[in-house]
Amino acid sequence: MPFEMARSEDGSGVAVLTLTGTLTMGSQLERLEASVAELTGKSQLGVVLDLSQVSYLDSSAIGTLIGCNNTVKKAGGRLRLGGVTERVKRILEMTGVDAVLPLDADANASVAALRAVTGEV
Amino acid sequence: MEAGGPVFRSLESRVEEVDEAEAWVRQFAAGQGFDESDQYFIGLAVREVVVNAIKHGNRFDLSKKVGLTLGGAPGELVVEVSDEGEGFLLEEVPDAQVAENLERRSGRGLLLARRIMDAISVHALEPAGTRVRLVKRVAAPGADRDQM
Repeated sequence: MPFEMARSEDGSGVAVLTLTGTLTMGSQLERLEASVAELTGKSQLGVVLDLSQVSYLDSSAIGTLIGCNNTVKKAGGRLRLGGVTERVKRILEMTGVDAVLPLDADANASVAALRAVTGEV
Repeated sequence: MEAGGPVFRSLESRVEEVDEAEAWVRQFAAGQGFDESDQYFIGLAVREVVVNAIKHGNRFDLSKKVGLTLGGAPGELVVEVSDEGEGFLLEEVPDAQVAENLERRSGRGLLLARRIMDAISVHALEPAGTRVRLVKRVAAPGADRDQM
């Protein structure tokens, strides 16, 4: 499935990037990083990556997720992953990055978690 | 490799080769008796090793090839990935799971391959290059798949 990305912002300081397809080494990773950097540049300091429609990712994509997290943290914000499928979750757990990338059952839960600390993000 | 079964492909040192190589491995794994879930993860493991061979081994040098050999007895998959690079030692690859490396962007490919496959070994080739050998066996019925 080709990679697609949709963005939604509601003015609360929390933005959701909904990713669809497979996330592997290539230009889609650069697009994702650029979008996250743009959001933090606009003071969107709560960033949710909705992965519920991502069926597959490789180590390059994991590195990009880490890079996005580092970008948001550096700007003083927080990033969460919502709706991670069982297989993708297993891949993240195999590498141990679930210890640094917060995972939520779905994107709504990620948004709620970020809004709960709105004063901090 | 088991006699009578191994098949070989030579890949160009470019990332565009990776998807096709992965699809080929998944298809071969199906023929060896692995279910869809195993095919998914085996495909990922081999993908990571092939990417390493292209990127870190051959450094995208199109004059160098990556060799991919698939074989094994029924219920088993043996994969060999060779490159023409300078080589590396498995024990010298940084541990991506230790705290100081968790926020590094790279270094997780071999970790995934090790976690997914039953065995992995690295062999130096003469006069240059490296061959990575990966083995996976079909899990016995009732085995805990989370222990992959």
